[in-house]
Amino acid sequence: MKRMNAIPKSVNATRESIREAEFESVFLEHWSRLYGIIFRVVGDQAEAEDIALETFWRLWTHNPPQKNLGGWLYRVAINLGYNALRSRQRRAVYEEKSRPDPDSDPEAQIESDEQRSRVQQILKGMPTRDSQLLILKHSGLSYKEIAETLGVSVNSIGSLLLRAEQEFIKRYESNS
Amino acid sequence: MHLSNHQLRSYLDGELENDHLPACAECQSRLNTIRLQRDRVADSLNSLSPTKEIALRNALTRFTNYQLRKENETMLTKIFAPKFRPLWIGATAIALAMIMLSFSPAREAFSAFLALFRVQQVAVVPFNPANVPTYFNNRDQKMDRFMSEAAKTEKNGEPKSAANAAEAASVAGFSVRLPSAITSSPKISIQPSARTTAVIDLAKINAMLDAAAIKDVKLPANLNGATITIDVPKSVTATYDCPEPNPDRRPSSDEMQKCVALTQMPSPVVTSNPSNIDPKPLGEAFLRVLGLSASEAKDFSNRIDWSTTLVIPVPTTDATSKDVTVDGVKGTLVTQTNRKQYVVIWLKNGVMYGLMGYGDEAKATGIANSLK
Repeated sequence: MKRMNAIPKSVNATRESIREAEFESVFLEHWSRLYGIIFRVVGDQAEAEDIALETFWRLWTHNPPQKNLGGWLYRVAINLGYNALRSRQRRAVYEEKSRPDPDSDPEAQIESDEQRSRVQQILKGMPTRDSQLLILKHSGLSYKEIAETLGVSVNSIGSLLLRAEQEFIKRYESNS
Repeated sequence: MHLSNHQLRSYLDGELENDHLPACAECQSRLNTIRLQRDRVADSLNSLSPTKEIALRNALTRFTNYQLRKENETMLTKIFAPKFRPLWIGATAIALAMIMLSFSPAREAFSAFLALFRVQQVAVVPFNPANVPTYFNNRDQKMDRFMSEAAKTEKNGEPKSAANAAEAASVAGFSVRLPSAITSSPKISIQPSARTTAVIDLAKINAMLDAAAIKDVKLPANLNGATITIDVPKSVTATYDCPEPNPDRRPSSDEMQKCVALTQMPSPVVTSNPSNIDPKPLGEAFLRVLGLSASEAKDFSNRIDWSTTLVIPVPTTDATSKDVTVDGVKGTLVTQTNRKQYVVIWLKNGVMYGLMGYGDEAKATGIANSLK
C-alpha cells in the first residue's frame, strides 16, 4: 500500500528548484554588502570571502525564518568576522595578512596599511557593539537593518551611533 | 522645539524628517558639528573598505564550490548513507565509549584520573539495516536533541586551503602524503581540529536500549557520570579531478568518475575520567544497536581488541567490505554496490587514511599504494 505521505520525485525536484532559486536571489541581493562588512572586520580578502561563504552556507543549511532575514545574515556574518579576529594569535598576523597591491605605489600602500591597522586597533578596543555599529553603518546598512542585526530598537540607533562616533574620535586622537 | 543631538544624527542619515531644523540657527550649528564628526569617522573607516570585489556571478560559483566542499567534508562519513544518521545518533551515546575502549593498567601511572589511548587499527562491522531496531531507524528529532545534550563538540578554527603537501603539512602539523599515481594537481584543504566531550548518562542509555527492546545488555554501573573526551586532530583532504561546480546544474555521474578524494589525519586521542572503564559491554551494546544478535555481537566482540580498534559499521544492503593490503599495511576496502564507489581505510604510523573514488579494487589499491 502506498504511503499516504509519499511525495513524488518530480514534486521534490520542483521544491528543490524553488528553494535554490530563492536562495540565489537572497545571495545576489546581500553578497556585496555582507562581504564588505566582513572585510571591514578582518581586513583580508581571502578570509573575508571564506567567512562570507560560510555565512551563506549557514543560511542554506539552517533555513532561518524569512522575517528579518537580512538581520540574521548580517548578524551571523559580523559574529563570524569577530570570532575570526579573536582567534588570531597576534596582531602582527593581521598586519602580515594585509597584502600589498602590486600595482600600487609602495609608499602610499604602507601609509594605507598603517591607517587601516590603526583604525582596526581602535575598533578592537571599543565595546563590541559600538564597533559593530560603526562598521554596519559605514557598510551602507539602514537604521532598520542595523537594528535587526544588533537586536536593538531602531529608535535608539541615532543615539548609539552618535556615542560610538564620539568614542571613536576620542580614541583616535589619543592614539595619535 | 530644538532637536536633541541624537535626533540630529538621525536627521543627518535621512532617518528623521523635521521642519524646525532649516529655520533654527542653533540646531544648524550643532548639526554641522555632528556632521563633521560623522565625516571624520567615515573618512577613517573608509580605510577599511574592500579594494577589490569579485563579480556577483563568480561569487555564486564560489559558493557552489564551497557547498560541494562542505558536503564532502567528512570523507570517512561518506560510507554512511544519510538515512542511517538516526542510527548513528542513537548509537553514538554508546559509541563514544565504544571507541574509547579500555586502558592499559600501566598507563594509569601517568594520571590518577585519566587514561589515554590512540586508535591503532580499524575494523568494519557489516550490518543489515533491516535488523536495526525500529526505535533507531526512525528519523526522530528527539534523538538529535538527546545527542546534542549528551555530547558537545568544539571546533578549533575554520578550514584552510593549501597549495601543496608541504604547505598542508605546515598547517596541519603532520607529514602529509599524496598519491603519485595521480598526475593531476590536487585541491587541498585542512579541516580544523575538534574536541567532543560527553558525560555518560546510564539511565538514558538503559532507557534507550529498553525502548529498542534490547533487554539482555547489562552495562556496568561505574559508567554513569564518566566523562569521555575525544580529540580529533586537524585533517587534510586532497581532491583530484573532481568536476568544477556549475551553479546551473549538478555534476553527472560520468563527470564524477575521475574524482578521487584522500583524507588523512593522526589518530584521534581519547581520554576518560575515571580510567577503569571496561569498554567491552559498551561495544557489545553498540553492536546490538546495529541489529546484531547477542551471539553475533559477542562473536565480533571477542575477535577484536577493543582497546585499540575503531569500529566502523557498514550497511550490507548498500556495500560490501573486505580486508586488503595497501601502503604496506592491512586496510579495509568498502565498495558501494550500485555506484561502484569505493572507500579504502587504513592506518599507518599513527595516521588514519581514507581514500574514496570510483572504480574497482585494483584502481583503489593502486592509488593507495602510491602514497609518497
